[in-house]
Amino acid sequence: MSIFGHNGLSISRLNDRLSVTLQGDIVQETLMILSTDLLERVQTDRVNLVIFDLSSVDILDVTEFNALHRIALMIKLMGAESIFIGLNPGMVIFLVSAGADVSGINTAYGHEDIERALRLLNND
Amino acid sequence: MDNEIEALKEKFNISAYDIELVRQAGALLVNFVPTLIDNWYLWLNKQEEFALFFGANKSNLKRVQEQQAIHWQSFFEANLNDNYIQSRRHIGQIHARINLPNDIYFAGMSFALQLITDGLWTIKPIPSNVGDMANALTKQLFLDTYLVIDEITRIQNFRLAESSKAMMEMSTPVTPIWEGILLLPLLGILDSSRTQDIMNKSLSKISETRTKVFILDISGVASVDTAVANQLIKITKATQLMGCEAIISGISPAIARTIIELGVNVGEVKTTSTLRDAFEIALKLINVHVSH
Repeated sequence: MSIFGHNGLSISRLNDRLSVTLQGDIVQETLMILSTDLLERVQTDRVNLVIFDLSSVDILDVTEFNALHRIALMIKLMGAESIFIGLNPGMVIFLVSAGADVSGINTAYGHEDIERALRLLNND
Repeated sequence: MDNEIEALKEKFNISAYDIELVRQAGALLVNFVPTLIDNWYLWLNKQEEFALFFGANKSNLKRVQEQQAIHWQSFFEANLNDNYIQSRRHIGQIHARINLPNDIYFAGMSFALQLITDGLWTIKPIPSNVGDMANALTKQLFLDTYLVIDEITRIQNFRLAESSKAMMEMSTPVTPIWEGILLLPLLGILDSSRTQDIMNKSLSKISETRTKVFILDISGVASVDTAVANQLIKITKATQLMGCEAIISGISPAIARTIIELGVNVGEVKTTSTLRDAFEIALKLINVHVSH
């Protein structure tokens, strides 16, 4: 297990899973660094699942959400799955009303709910 | 063939009189030819190529010198017929086989011509038409040189065509790696003609071998842009139409980013970052279980 972080961002690995914890105010620059680091590690560490933990994010704008969405698609292209946890109701209402594209995104309530979400995913 | 010889004579401006002059010069220089060959080899000995082509093999040198005596004899006989042209082309074939550089060949011919004209001036008494003789000899020597170089060029072009054909064949190595699994590793640059070729070859191979899973490995592809990505997706869609599951492997972080940033719709195509993962999925799809 290793942890290394940037401002408001930490990536930790557990077996074939990567957990990405985002904190505070997410800015575009953070996401740029995230996409580079994350994709490298998906390849080198043979990661199967990337978990984006957004539970401690204060504000998530549509632009930033779209960037995260694109990262999730890139991860999918590289043969791994991704799952978002900790999206709070306020955030979701804002994103949906702002017309963000949420297709192709897997979500779970929290870490304890991931297994259920994965089972759903594999049954598709 | 006779036409060809006449055309060559016409082109090199070699008249019957020129041929007569060459024969006259030959008769006058008959005792000079051994000196010519000796002097010519003295010159060649000083060139770096000498060691390269004759360094290790002294008997080879002797044989080549004998050949050269015959060569100059036929040169001065000036029977510009089929055999003459064939013998010059044969020299070209030999030179092409040993990869003789053009510079040393031209330099050698130029030096030989210099030796011959010098030889002409040493004849006592000096013939009245010595200038015409030198001209006739020069023309014929240029014809000789042309024939040899032409043959070398022809052989080189032939080799080039062969190797580019081989490259085309090698560019789509569709290989069965397991019962029901086909692998196509792609390397280099993809263009539309090549993707068309890939599509044709892989589809026919799929139907031929009743393949269940087709793996397209693009880790060796230099760059992926919208056109290339769309072509690849087209290939995978076509294979899926054939009832064969397609997996694109070797998607590096850079390629993943490009595809997403370009907004290419990948759809339902399975993609993995390493060939190993793709192979694992493929084995699962054909119900082969590998225990670690």
